[in-house]
Amino acid sequence: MPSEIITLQLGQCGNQIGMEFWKQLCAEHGISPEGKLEPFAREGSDRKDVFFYQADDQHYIPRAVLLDLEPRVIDGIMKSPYKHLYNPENVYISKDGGGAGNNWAQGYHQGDKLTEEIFDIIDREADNGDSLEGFVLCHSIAGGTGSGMGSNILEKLNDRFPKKLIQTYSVFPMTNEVADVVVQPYNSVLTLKRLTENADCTVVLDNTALNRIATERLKKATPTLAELNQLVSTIMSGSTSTLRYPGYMNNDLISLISSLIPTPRLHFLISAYTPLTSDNTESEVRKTTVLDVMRRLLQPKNAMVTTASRDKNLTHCYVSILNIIQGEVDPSEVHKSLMRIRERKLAEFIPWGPASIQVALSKKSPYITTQHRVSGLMLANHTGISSLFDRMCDHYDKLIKREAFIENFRRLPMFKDNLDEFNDSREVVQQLMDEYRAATRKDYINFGNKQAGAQGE
Amino acid sequence: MSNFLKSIQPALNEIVYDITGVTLSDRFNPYKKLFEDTIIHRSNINVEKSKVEKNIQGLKEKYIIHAQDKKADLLQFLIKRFNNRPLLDHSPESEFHQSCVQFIISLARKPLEVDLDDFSHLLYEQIEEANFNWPAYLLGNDYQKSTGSIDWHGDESINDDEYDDEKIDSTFNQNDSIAEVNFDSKPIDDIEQQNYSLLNRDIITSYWHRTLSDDVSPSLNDFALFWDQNMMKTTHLAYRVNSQTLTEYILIRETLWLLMNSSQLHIYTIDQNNQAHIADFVRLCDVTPVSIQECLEKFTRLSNQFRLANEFLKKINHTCRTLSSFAQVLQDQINLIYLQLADIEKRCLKQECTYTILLFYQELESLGIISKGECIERLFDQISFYDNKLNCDLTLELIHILYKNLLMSEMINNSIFFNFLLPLFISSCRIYLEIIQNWLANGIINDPFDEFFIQRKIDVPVESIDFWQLSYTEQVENASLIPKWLASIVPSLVKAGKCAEILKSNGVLTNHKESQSFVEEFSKCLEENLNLKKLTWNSLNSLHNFETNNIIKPSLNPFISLNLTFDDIENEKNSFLVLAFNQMQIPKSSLLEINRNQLTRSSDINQSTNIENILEKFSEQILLNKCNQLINQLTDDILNRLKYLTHIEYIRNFFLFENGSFMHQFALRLYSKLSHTIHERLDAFTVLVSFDSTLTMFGLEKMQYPLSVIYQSTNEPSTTQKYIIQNVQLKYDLPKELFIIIKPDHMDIYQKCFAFVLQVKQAKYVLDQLVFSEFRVKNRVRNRRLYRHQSYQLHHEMFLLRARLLHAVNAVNNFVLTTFHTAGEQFLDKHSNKSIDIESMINFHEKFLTALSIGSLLQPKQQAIRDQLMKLFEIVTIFARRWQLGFDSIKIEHINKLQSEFNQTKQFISIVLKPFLPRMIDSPLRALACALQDDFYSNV
Repeated sequence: MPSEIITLQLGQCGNQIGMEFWKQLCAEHGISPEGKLEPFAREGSDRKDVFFYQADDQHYIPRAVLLDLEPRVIDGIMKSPYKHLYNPENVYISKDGGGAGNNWAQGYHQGDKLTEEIFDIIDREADNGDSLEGFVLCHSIAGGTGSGMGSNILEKLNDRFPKKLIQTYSVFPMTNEVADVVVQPYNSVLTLKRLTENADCTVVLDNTALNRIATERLKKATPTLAELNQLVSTIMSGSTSTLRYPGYMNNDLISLISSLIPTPRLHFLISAYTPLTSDNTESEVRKTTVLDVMRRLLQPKNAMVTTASRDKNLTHCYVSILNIIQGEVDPSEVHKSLMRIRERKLAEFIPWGPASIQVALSKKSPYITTQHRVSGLMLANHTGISSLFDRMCDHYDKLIKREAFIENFRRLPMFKDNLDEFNDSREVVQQLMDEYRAATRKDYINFGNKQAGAQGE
Repeated sequence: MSNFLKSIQPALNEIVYDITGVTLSDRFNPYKKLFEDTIIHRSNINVEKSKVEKNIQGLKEKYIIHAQDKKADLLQFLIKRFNNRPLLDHSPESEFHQSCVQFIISLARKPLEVDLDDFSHLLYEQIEEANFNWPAYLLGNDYQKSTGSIDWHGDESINDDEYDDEKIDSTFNQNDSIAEVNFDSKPIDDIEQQNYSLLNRDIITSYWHRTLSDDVSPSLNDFALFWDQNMMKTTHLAYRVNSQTLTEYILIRETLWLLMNSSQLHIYTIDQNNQAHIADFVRLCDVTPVSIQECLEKFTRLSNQFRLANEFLKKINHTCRTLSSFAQVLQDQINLIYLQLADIEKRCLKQECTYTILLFYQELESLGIISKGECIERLFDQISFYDNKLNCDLTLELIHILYKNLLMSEMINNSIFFNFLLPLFISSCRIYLEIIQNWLANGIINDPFDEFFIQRKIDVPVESIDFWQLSYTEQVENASLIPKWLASIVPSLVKAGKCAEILKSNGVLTNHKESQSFVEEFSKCLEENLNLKKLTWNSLNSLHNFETNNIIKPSLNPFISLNLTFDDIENEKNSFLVLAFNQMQIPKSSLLEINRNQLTRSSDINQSTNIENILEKFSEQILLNKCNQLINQLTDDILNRLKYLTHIEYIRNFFLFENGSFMHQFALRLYSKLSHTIHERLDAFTVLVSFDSTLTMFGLEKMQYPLSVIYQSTNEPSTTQKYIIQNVQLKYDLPKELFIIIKPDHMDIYQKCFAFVLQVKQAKYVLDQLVFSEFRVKNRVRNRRLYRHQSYQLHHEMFLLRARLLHAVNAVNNFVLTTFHTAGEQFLDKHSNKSIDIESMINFHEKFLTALSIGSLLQPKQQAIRDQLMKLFEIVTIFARRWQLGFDSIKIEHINKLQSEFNQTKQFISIVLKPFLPRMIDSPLRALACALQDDFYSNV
């Protein structure tokens, strides 16, 4: 009895990384672009039904809903070899076709309008499985559709599926350069509020870091979008591998997430993957051991989020770590590696609670040959993520101070009367950052008291 | 002496009366004197009474073995009479000797037709005084006839010049028209003549068997014995050459020896033409009459050496097949020896060629007879065939001794010993090999007489869980008796035997009929390696051929067939006779040739091919090979047909949760289904229905799934239900063929593991489910309320307690599942080894189970940890229930209580596990100890 997971792909970015994700999944499960099971994959013991279901003609169909307000990306998918993979009913492109124009409010508003149609699809998809475990949302928080409509859908999902898990793979925009979307800080903060309040778990994919990794690790001078998306899909497929290849531990999404998230708000996860390879470059890594992999995963340069280890007189630390190790691994190696990590003090942990590095061992797909014996994915809850939010808030604050580019927002119902939503979102993000910072200190145990006291005044 | 005489007086009187019918009186004094003398004399002979007894006994047995029971009886009769009857006195006269011979010849020829009148003069002369017709008496004829009218035709020839006092020729020629006996004279050396001339044959005491009835074997009529009373040391024997069968030769020889109180022996032969010859023992034995004795002694000694063997052969009870098999070959061998011996004796006695002592011994040895005799004697000295011994011990001892002797004979390079022992050895091993073959081919030990040293314990059936450990036992007193070449493969053999039995009970035992029998292989292997070809078997093989095919063609040898009419030639089973025939068809020279070849060949044995090596090679190549085949067959059966590893994989997947939390979900569904009906009385049917519907719900085919549910109804009122409904158990259906490895009590361990993991999983599941959907609320209002509410600290405490509980439960979960997984992987790893067999499978599985029971803390030492974990799970349950009931109803005291309880429990577990921390050896428990430490990564 599988715990089905429905993937929602929103907007340009969401659909692109979703596309890469499904490509990867098809390859790993031996499913052809048409959805047919390859002859060599007949005997597999993998669990395809978590992410796929079988059509009447035995074709495998992804439990995916493709949503966009403009047809460009989805059209591209529909012209690709994978055009027959998806259930056409699950592909929804706004009839306007105008897109959200990188405007969160536009996206949110459109989402509102399209609720019925979108949730028709989602409901149908949800009823399709016996035991739906939750939703995975792919989107970027910078644009209009992914962020705005994504936010809207997050809220609605909460209403409709209060007990289902919602995980998002959220691509955070570059913060260190001039953004190509000027209202990106607005979009981000507004979305971040929904991610904080309406998602159970957000895997933060920082475009800055992705670019850095592509340049540094993969030696790409100017990494293409596809290459960055491939990185994301690697993370996505890696983090779901224990669900798809049943192993002796962590076989549902919730068991992966639950130990990573101590309190409701602290659910923004950073990720890392090693060894990274791309199609036409040779990997730097020649030999992989569990310790190697674990050590590399803890190195900030491999993290898919650029975080600061220190800011505002704080030493950031890990709240919790989950390592998913793929490949032929002897469990005793894991223990040894953990001992070594401890000796070398490679990871700094919160002072107020139990420090844990969870290790989930997962099988590798038998249909994909990899150069490396062991590969690893880290999902970690790190207080340093607040620095990312901090940077975003900096940009936001600068913009909102001047109420720059606010007109586009005012045109839409939510902001017609006031800009309370902006303030509210900023406040939620601030609280989030505060809690992350508080979590670095020992007195986090009493955070509740302070909070109550502070807020109660 | 006088005392002795006095003591025997009554007996003496009785004997005399018995014989003569005359009461002893003074008138018969001479006779009385004679009897006295005889008895005294006999008491002298009987100095070595035991030896004589032994000889008689041996001879008798020989007859019986040769199916000549009648003759044996006769012999006994003869001896008895000889012992009981008096020896007749006779006045010393030189002529008498010859007359007597003549007479005996007649008797021998036609005992019932001899006209005693012809000898009457002799008798007259001799018993004139007493006027007693003793030949008539002796012959049991009417002796009145002979009285007074004795006319002996042979008188003239007896009184020939050859019988002059000065020059008594030892050879004489006599033409007796009545008796039709011709005595050919033979020239001899002077010295010998002199020796003969010194012989004093004046007094002849004669004795012969009285033919009382027609049913006495005619052969016994063909010889007569004379015993020189006065000389006491001279015996006379006359016999017919052409009517002797081999048996009779032996008889004569043996009888002679019995009578060999005398140092001189005079033998007369009667040839086909009824010519009597004085057997020239001087020529025969080369030297003095003492040598003659020696010669005969040799024959007898050989007989003695065979005595125990004969005794054994006679006694052999057929309840032990090995012994029978051994006996049969021994019998054949002895028959062969007897035949050869008889042949030699025959030639000796026939006087066809001149034998010197040297030649005599050479001839004996060229056939290996002396060695064989020694060999047999040695064998029977070493083996003690007690009746009360177990057959298996007896058999082992036999094989052991044969093997030992075989080794020794090889060591001293005695090829005669070796060649003699080898067939015995092979035949003795035959039954073992047959039993083994049968065992391996049919899965049963067919050993009705308990000879095999491995015994099946009948009270342990193949389905029994103890089958592998207890089914077969070695029942030997002294395991060192098991020959080394066999002992080395006994473990494999027992294993293979068990495998065969299991395979048989599984119905997949295939008999490779085309495979050669071990016995054949065994002898083939030995023959080839020892370069024996079929030579060792030649005579015996042909013998067997004759026996089985019954191709005796009497026409081929009319001589023998005619002359052996009295023997029980009709008896086809008389292998001795057949052998004799067979052997007689082969000219002597070729027999010798064969023997010689045999000797040279066997001396060619390559020194390096040691019998030990050969046997080891045999057991390794043939037996071990077959054993391994069977063991592999079972392994194959278990792995491929019964899909052992698939079952293990299922068990791992289902019971040990290695395939994810499927079983947890399944159990959860089932139990929740059942708990709906828990208010009613639960019965087996409801449980079954719920189980079936759960299966259907999970989309599982009922028939294909090895899961079932058992419900044990208890009388207790509805059990307190924590995680599972106590008396409903999910059960894995294992094919019972696999019980050989996974026993029912092993399944109990799996069951316990399952129950434990289910609890761990449930604890983890309950905690995992405590997501923050409560706080992921749809409206902002509520959210704001959460963080700004006075009670947020309480919430926060709950969150943190959840995290800590989760951390602890995760650690336990990881520990349990990692242990299971590691054990499972190691288990599978071991099974990927090609050379795996059933025994190692059992071992591996037991190790696997031990690892599992450590993982599920089932070991007695781990009880404390287990108890604390149960407590932890209880805290988890209470905590989860509070969480689910809503935060509004939670009071800080509740949380504090839970917290303190949790701290206690965790502290306790940490203390128990503390000893594991500093250890350098990685163990799952150490990992657990580490994982349970809150500050593990900072507190270095």
